[in-house]
Amino acid sequence: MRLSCMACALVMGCASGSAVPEVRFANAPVARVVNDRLDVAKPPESRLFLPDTYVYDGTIGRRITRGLELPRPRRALGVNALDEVPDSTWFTNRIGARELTPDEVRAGPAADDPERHTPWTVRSTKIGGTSVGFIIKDASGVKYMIKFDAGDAPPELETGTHVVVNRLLWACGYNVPEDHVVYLRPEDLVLAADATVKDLTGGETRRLDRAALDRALATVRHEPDGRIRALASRWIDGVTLGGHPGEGVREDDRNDRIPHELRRDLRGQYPIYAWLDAVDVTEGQYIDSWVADPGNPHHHYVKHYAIDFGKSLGAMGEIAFDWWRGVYYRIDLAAMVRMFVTAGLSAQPWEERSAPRPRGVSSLFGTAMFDPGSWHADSPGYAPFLTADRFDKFWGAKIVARFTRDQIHAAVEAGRFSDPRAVEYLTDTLVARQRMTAAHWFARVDPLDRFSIETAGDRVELCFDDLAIGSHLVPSSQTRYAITHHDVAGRPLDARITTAGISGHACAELPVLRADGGGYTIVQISTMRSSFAGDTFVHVARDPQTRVARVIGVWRP
Amino acid sequence: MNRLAIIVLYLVLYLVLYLTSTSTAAGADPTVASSITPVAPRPDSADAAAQPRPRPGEVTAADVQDAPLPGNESGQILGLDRGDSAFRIAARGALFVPRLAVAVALSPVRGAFWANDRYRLEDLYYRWFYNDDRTIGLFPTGTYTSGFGATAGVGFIDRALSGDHESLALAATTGAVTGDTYRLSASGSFRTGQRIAPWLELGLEANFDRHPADPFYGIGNGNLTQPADAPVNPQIGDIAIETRHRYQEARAAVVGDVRVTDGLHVLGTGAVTDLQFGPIASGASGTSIDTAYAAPDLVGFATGVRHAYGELELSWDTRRPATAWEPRDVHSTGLLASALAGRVHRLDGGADFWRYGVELQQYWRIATGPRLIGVRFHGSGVTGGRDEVPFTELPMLGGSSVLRGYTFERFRDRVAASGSIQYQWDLSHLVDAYLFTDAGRVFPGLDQLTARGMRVGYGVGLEIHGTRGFVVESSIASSIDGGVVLSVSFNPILDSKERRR
Repeated sequence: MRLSCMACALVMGCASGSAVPEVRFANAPVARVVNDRLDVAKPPESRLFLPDTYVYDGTIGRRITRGLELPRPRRALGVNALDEVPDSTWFTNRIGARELTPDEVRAGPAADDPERHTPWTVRSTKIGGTSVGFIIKDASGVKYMIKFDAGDAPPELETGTHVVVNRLLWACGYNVPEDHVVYLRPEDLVLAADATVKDLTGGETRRLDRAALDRALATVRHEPDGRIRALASRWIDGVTLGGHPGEGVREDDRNDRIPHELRRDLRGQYPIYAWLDAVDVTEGQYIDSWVADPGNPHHHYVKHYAIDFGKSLGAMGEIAFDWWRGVYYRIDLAAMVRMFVTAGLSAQPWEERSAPRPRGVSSLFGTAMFDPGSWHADSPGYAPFLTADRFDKFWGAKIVARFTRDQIHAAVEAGRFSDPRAVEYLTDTLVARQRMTAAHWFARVDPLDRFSIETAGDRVELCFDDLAIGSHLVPSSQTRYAITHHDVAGRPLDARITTAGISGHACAELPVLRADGGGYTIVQISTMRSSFAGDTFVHVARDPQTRVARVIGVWRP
Repeated sequence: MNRLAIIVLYLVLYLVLYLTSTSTAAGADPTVASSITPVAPRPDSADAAAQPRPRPGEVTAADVQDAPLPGNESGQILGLDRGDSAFRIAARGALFVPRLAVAVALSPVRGAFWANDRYRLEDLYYRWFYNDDRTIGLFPTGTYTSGFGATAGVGFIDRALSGDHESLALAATTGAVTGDTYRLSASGSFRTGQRIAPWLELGLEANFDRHPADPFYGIGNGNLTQPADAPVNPQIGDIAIETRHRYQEARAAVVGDVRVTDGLHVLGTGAVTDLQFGPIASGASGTSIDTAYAAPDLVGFATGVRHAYGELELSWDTRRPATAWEPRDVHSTGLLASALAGRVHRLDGGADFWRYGVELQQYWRIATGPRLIGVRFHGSGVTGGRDEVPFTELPMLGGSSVLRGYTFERFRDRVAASGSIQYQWDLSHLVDAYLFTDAGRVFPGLDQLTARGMRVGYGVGLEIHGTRGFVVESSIASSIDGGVVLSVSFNPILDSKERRR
């Protein structure tokens, strides 16, 4: 008894380092979905992405003025009581929320295979860019944009990368177009009678004739058997509106209520994009579309997509012969000043970046110099990445960590690489980077998750998973949890110590919840191991209907 | 100078950001966006709205009608966010004016980016002034030089006369736009490309230039001094006074380039040149040459100079980026060894003389990046005496290329020699920095070479590359004699040639 009291005192002493935060939750079911599908009668104003202005704003103009606005650090919005992102027109919980088979990951958003519907009728050249591409309709009438690996670019790199990342981002929960790697023969393309050549902004400049089409196809890479490898991206349904603004909201979209720089699903993309080395992050890599509701064609709202992933997995640096990508911004003024002052005498992380190069794989995509915490997109312009905090990155890292090797392998297979070594290399590398991502962010936030109430006879327990142990980043034997119960006012009630199982699953008995106030109880879990110490506060109350205890909120300080 | 600095700052900012932001080659399609072109809304998206294949399992508005609205999903009834503190609000208020000032000050730069993005000015430029293949263009030109005002002109170029890289270029500019009628330039050139043979290129070129105020600091290695009471004879002694003179050049030339091997070239030039000089043009700033020097004592000053020139140059050039991962315009390894000799035959009865020169450059890549060390030796000379060689034909040092740290054409005499050592390292994939020290001097003759009186300059510079190659470099330099020389060059400094002969 005396020992027990001493342990209790010790635990309360340990836990007393952090007072119970003032956050309190409603005794209500956790929101798993939000209603951002209210009718928007007319399409919101479309936004033109201005790439040079965007880079300028992100690098200089807005950077200075934002600093002078003294914005306070803010926790992300758009999260439910469990610190998770509910389903919305931006994000759908997929991996981790339900069982995703490797086949589902391999298929991703794709509902059909355009290769099964030839010939394809060429309607026009694609809009913008310098690479060859066309807008086509397949034999079943579905519209696609097709483009090719540039003739002077590494074969299969951009097309394969695009589809691999498309599948992984879809599994993560983001809306992405239906993209496919396809093989075609020139005769599979039939020219529409009114086919046109389009300029950079979509204006029609002249008729597209067969000779011009064949000339364009002659410049792209052909397989030895005469086929041409291409990326086919299904046209996104609805009226497209351009990318979402990185800051603020679309004022004319009544469903767009959370400033984008505060959205968890956008801020939390950082570790995911770092994992995938998806450096090409701008507002132009997203697109919103005003769509009709599947259940009511007269009801419309805006759906949000991420697009264009071909420069990920090290492809951007490989194509541009630029080994700085992913390590620094393209115009990284702070880094440049540092390099100037050190006169090039300091070693740079990219100096050792190299990897085997099976066909379709960038030599820059590896693990040796990958730092999940200091990874950089090409431009500092995308505000959600600037405002993201460790909690957002922890959320994203949790998603990354949920992939099994088989799921990743299936996504990579969707890239249809001709060299099997490419599939294995990319899978191995993604798994390794996944582990590095988890190791980094699970050490910066108390990595406890999946809280639940379990009942064994009369015994009611609060159970949770330690993701660091579950990911085999730390052994369970080195970890202890000090559990302290507090009442709704934050006063400590009792305390104990528990340990985790080998899988990272741990449970601690809940005290009998008080009768008043729904028995609102705050469970402080203090994780203690040699490499980390941190708290999580789990809020528990009795369901007014069933009188059964449930988790009503999680707060990570 | 301040105006020039502001213009240069804007220009450099614009170039850096514009040229470095146009990297990706992906298109601007709504499904596959681009970072180089605007992502336009789909013009025919209504068409796409009626796609025939239904998507199973999609969430409908009816499914979520009872769910909380965005922003109400947190479940929190008491949060931590108390909003901005009074201090933060006060500080933000205090910074309102500075923020506005910054925004206003930067608005021309942003406006330039915006205008280029919004209206695709670069495309518009090529659409207006070039053919579809951008090989033939008739385009406006303009310059601005501090103290001299603006020029305006027109240029014509045809880079593919008949498909073998032949080129024809014509250009003309005038300073009359700001009232300086003396500033004038007209030039034309034709190159055969690979028309005759892949290893042989011939060319014709001609130019007519008028400069209202070129610098003249006397002849020799003397220290700068104030003008004397009476004009001094520039042929005698090393009296250096900062003056300026009018310069007119009319020149026609035939050039040839024989590629013996990949790195070995034999270059030949034959030219006829007519030069005229005079006091600085009216309206130009500076001390006129005739107020400090007895200008008529300078060869050709009073009468002008007309001569024919033949030159042969042997050049071995293996300079290159060590790998494809380095900027294509950075020489991180290799050697340039070039020697030339030419004969000046005076057509106006003056004495003939020889011109000779040597250029050596060696680059060592000491680390990836690249980080490299470059060394250079430049030497040139003439065989005629000070009283035989027109003063503008004497070898010169100073400026942004040879003997940096000294002003343009600061030293001239019968022989000039300079050496340079430069360390260059990368600040990003697009920007390099370099530290350099140049040392050299001019000599009255080969028999009077000495290390005494050596002039030493030093400085630091930045070199900016775009995805298509060199963009601009700028350096700030000084010397053991003091002063600061700021230079901006739109051509690689170590690739620059001396003024045409």
